[in-house]
Amino acid sequence: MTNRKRPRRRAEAALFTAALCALLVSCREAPKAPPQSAEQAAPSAAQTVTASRTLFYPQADDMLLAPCPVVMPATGSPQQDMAALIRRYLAGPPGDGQVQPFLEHSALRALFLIGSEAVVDLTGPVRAGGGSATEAARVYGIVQTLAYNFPDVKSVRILVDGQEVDTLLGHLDLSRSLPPEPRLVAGSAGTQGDAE
Amino acid sequence: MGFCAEDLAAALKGSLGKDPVSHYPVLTLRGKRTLISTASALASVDGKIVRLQESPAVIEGCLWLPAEFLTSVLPQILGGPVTIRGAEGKAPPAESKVPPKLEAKPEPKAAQAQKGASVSVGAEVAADSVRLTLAGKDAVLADVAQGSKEIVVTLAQGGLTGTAQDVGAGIVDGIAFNQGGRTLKVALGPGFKRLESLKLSDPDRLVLVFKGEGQRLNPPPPEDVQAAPETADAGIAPGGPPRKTAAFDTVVLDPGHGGSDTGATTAGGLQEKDLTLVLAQKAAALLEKAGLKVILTRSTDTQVPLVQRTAIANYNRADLFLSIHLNSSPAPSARGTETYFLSRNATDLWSTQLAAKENTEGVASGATADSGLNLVLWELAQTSYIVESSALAEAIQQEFNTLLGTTDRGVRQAPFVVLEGAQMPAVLVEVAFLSNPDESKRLTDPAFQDQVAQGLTQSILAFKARYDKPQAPPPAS
Ligand SMILES: [Zn+2]
Repeated sequence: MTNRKRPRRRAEAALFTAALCALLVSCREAPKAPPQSAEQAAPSAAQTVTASRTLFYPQADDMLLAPCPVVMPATGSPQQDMAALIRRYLAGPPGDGQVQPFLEHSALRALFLIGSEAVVDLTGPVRAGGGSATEAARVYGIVQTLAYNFPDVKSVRILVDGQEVDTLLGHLDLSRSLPPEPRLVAGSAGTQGDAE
Repeated sequence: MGFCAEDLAAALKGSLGKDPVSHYPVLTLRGKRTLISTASALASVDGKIVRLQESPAVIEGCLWLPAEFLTSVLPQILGGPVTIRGAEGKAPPAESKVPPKLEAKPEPKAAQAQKGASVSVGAEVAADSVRLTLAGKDAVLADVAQGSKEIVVTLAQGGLTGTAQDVGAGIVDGIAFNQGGRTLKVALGPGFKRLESLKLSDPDRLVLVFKGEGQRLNPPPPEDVQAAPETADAGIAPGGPPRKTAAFDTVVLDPGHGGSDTGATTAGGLQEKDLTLVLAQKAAALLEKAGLKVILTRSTDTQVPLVQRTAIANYNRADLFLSIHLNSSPAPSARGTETYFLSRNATDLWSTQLAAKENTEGVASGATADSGLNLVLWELAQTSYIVESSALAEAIQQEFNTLLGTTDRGVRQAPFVVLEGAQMPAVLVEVAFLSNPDESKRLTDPAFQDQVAQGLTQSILAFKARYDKPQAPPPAS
């Protein structure tokens, strides 16, 4: 394991990521090379270890999830890196053409791993507004982003304020753990699931 | 080892055809249709999924079935165990087509002794669940029917014994059966949320887990018992479910949301719940004109729980369930129709997890690792109709791509609560985006509403035409 350093303070990390994202022309394009894991990312001369990650946000026109590559600090702890990834996800897409499915002030409360299941505990107005396109984008944006970047994650269970919920917006069954849904991902970008 | 399906059909005076929708082979024996998947190790007997170890395959003109078909699928078709005399199974590829000497014996001698054998009923009560176990060889062949207020388990043979009636109230308000009888009724309480049903072997048993909240061993005094919510327009009449005819004649339309659940809304005050009701009522009128019986899950602005909507369709033995919604996105440019059927990915995972959990917990001793192969998830009844549902979704999607001028949309899959328990082809259509200014305007136009209703009706009638003619040749594609 190459990690030793904690990532920089979150604000710094977010700035760093935002700057990298701003350089990307479009988030509609799949990354040309598979993203590297924290372990594969060569540590630079500086202290921060980074990893290429892919966020999946809905496209504005058809609401299918499309990849958006970002580079993020990596700690080497899957749980911490997943939590950072979801916090980054909740901040919204960096470029045009993709939609932020979450309302402002939606936040991650906690994230933990149980075997191959990631449990994502959200808080804020995650159960407000929108139809099933919004609900599917919120739920599967998170499921797809986690499963794509961390192939050991086979399914994701979503909690709200620490509680199990039947559904977010009255359509999808959240009472159980959800595997990725390739049919909700644009093209075949979501079907490989072998990011690392 | 295995044999040709043609030989089996000939031996048992049945027929082998092709499903017009999925194009899968259909084996018809004793009036039961068995859909055989050559793409996966699955067969579906009258809609009930049976998992096989090996996938059937078409080899040199023979639809090759694995030998286990005789022991795992055929008893489900014939309603009893099967004896095979001198059957020489064959390995694929088939070299000869000598039919196995096969004879259906619903009541072989060994089973005779067990006729009337007891199925013991036991119950375990917890605050969040009631677990009912029916143990015995005949338990796994029992039929389970779910209504909105009760669940009825019917044994094909054997008799029920035990003292599991006293389970309190909340999730399950009572269990009723006669000693030695074949029918067991479970009254569902206000705390009931869902049913998980498992058929397990070694020893044979049927486990029904009623999930929910608030089960109490001491039932409250009668005046505290809340009456079941009114379902004036819910299509559930007293006196049991209507008898089902073979023809495709009943459609359940489900106008999304209702009551305090408005669904998507617009700044201009439009509410999804109002428009879905208008569209459903218009489509219902057209379908009735075409001779179909149409039941709406709600005909007024009332809140109907999602599981009850599906229960209405199941109770009325509907041939098709269509849930009508309107979409909404943070992006005003999002437009077009999205048609969904149930996600296979999610349901497969859930089945596996439930089987693993059940085996880990060891409901009864002797649970084996492969008990999951016998898994039936009642609440995921829709998995048996995935193929038909995808065909229906495709038909609706195409119709609406034309209507709304979108060309690049395909059907989608997701785990919609309202589709999971449906025991018939079931889809959910998001007709258009309320959040799109153009589509939102059109949705309030009565002429466009008529077009939507017409589009839904056309799709349903086209599906009915195919469903009603199972022997028709598959359409050229
Ligand atoms: Zn809706």
